[in-house]
Amino acid sequence: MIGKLILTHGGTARELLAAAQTISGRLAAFEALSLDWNDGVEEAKAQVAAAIERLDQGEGVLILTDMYGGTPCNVASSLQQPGRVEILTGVNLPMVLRLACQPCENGGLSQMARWLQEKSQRSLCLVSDMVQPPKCPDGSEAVSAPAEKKHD
Amino acid sequence: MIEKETEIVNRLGLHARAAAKLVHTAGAFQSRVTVARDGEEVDAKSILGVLLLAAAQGTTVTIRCDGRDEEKAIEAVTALIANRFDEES
Repeated sequence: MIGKLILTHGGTARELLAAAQTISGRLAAFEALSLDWNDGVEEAKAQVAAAIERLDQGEGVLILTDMYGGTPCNVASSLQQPGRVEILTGVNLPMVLRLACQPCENGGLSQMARWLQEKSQRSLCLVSDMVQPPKCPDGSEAVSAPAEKKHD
Repeated sequence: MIEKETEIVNRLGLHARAAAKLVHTAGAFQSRVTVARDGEEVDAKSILGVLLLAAAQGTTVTIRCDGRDEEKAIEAVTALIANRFDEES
């Protein structure tokens, strides 16, 4: 099983994993690592490296981090190894839930990372675009047809 | 392919935890399983897809199953919905 590490500053990683577990139940091969704002880079790197070692069962580790260019991402980047450690930025609850609920590991780590990136880029929506138009009393649509929905 | 209409009867509707249970249930079968509402059909093995339906209490949805274990799949999914996703007495 591919390991999944949610890596952020502050408590975001911990809370994202807690929310996903509340929704989906206990998640195997997941870990949250919340870096302290006062941690130095070397200390943070040691924590991330240790988490990778804990999670890697031979199929690699996908790191989900918050912002490209932020310290968690920069620290993770220094540990990136194609095929063993991949990093995806912009972690959010839909991303974690998608990983938790859908089998997507058959193609290996790199393919899973690419799959999740493509799916997650389509998971933002303006809710007013998604709402069904009001119905007339006879059941016909009062305004235009529903906007095309982009999720899968 | 077989299909069955059923009503979402739990108070909170097809919310996140219920959707996760639906996805886990559907994922236990090899058959393709979909849920449709008002012409919108989504993969029942995708939690983001199921949430997209925004199916509140009282909504009628259509479960479709296609594959060699389709009978067992549709029975399990419709039972989960009828049992209010095990979240209410």
